[in-house]
Amino acid sequence: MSTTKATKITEARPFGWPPKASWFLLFLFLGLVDSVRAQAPSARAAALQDLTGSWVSVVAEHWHLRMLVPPKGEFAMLPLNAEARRLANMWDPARDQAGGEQCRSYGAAAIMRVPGRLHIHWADDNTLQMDIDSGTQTRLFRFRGAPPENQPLQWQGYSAAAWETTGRGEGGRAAGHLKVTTTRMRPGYLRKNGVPYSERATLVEYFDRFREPNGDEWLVVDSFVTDPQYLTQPYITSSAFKKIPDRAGWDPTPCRADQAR
Amino acid sequence: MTTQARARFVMVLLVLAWSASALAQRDIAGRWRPLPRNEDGDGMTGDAAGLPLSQEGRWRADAWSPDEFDVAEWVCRPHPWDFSLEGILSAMEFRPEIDRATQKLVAYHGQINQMEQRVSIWMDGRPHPPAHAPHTWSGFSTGEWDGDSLVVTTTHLKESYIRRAGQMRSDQSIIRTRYRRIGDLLQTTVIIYDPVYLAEPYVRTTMMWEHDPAMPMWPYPCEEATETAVPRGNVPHFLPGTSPLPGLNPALADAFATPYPARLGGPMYPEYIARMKTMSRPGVAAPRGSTERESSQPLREVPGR
Repeated sequence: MSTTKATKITEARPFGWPPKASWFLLFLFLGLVDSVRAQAPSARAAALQDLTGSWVSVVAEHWHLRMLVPPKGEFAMLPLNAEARRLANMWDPARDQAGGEQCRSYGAAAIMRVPGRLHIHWADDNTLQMDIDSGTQTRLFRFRGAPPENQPLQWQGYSAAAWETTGRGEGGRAAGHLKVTTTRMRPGYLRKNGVPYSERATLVEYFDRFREPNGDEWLVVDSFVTDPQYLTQPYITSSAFKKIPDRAGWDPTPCRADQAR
Repeated sequence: MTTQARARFVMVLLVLAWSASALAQRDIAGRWRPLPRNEDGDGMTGDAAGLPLSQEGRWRADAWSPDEFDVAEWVCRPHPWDFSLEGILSAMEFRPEIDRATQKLVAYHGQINQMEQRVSIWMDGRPHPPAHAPHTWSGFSTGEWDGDSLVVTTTHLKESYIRRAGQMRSDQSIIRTRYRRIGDLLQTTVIIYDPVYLAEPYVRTTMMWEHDPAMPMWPYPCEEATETAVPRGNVPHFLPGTSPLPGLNPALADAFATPYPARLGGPMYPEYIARMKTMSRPGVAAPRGSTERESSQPLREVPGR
C-alpha cells in the first residue's frame, strides 16, 4: 500500500486505522486479560456474598397465590398473551399428574415462589448448588463453562452464574450480588394453576443477602422471566428467605400437580 | 493517525475494558415509575393472611371499622411513606441535597404520589432524635450504604396502616428500608419491626420501580368531603367478635377458599400448608366486592432489558 493511499484511508476515518503497533498492543492486552482470567480465583474464593446455608421462604406477600393453589383463571400480575391464557384455562392437574408432568410448577422459572426450604452449598469451587425441599429439586449455578450443545431441556435448565460488582462497600471492598441466567428449561408453569412458560423462556435472577441489626439474615431473590412465546413483557417477582441455623423442618416432597408445594 | 491519537485509542480500549465491571449503580436520585404489583388484594377485606399480627395487633384489627375513613378528622388521612411504597400510587422522586462547601451528600429528599408524602433520608450521620421527640407520618429517617444498597432506618412514626383494613403498625415501630438498584430498576425491601402489633418482623420485597426521568409527578389534591355521615363525636369501631368484615366471617369463602384461621394472620412459613390440609374450608361464596382486587394496577408495557 502506497503512502498516499494509506493517508487517504486514514483521512476517511475520524480516528484513522491504528498502526500495527497498536494492534499488537491490543492483542497483547487481550491476551493478558485472558491470562488473568485463567489465573483468577475460583468463584468460591471471589464470592461477593456468602449465600451458603439453610433458608426458609417467608411468605408475607401474595400469600394466597403462593400458599394455596390458585383457581383456574387466576392471572393477577401475569403479563400473558392470549395463547397463554387459552392454555392456562385448559389446566387439568389430574392430567398432569397422570401424564408424568407433575413437576411443571417446580421448574426454575417458578421454584423460588414455591414455599419451601433451600440448602445452598458449593458443589465444587465453581458450582453453587441449591437443594430445594419442595418438589425435591436441585439447581446448579455454574460460574465457568457453557451449556453443552446437546444439553437436554430440564426443569431447572442450565444456570450460568456470575458475581456482579455494582459498587464499593465498607473498606472499599467490592460489593455486588449474584446474577444467574437460566436457559434450556423444560416448559413448565409460572403459577401452580397452569400458567405456561415455554422452552424459549429465559430467567435472570439477582440474589442479595444481608444481615439486620437483630441478627436476622435475609436472602432476597429478584426474578425476571422473559418468554417470547407466552409473555408480553418480563414477569418480575421478588421472594424473601430467612436464614435458619440448620436443616430443621427440611421436608422433601414429591412434585404434586394439585398441591401448593 | 498521530502518536497522541493512537495512544488515546489504546487508552480508551483499556479504560473501557477495565471499568465496565466497576461502575457503581447505587445512586437512587431521580424519578421512579412503579412496576405493576398486586397489593395483597387477593384476600377478602379483613383477611390478614401472611401478616404476623400479635394478639394486640389482632385486637386492633378486630376493632377497626371502615367508617373510620369518613370521620372528618381522617378523611384526608396522610398515608405514611412505608405504606405508600406498596400502594398503587407509588410514583416517587428522590432529590439529593449536596453540601456546597464539601460536596458531600447530606440527604435524599423523597416525594411519593400517594397523599404527596415526603421523606428526608439523612445521610450525614446525624443521630435520631430522643424518644420524646414528636412522631410524624413518615418519621425520622437516616441512611447508610450497605454494599450497593441504601439502608434506611426510620423511627418516630405515628400509628398507621400496614394494610388498609385495620391491620396496623404502632407508633413504636422501627422500619428498615433497603433500596437497591438493578440496572435501571429499583428494588425495595421493607422490614417492619413493631413490638406492639407484630409478633415478628414483617417483610415486603415485591416493590419495584423503573427509572424514568420524564415521568410527571402528579399532584394528589385530597379534598375533604362527606361521603358517609359519621355523627360528630362518634368513633367507629367494633367490639371484639362483632366485626362484619367478610375476611373475618368464618363461613365466607374467597376464590381460594382460604381457611378462616389463616385469615387471622401469622402463617408465613411453608409448613403451614400441611396444617391447612386439616382445616375445614368455608363454603359460602363471598359476595362481590368482598376483596380489594380492584386496587391492582393494570399491566404496563415495560421496555426490554
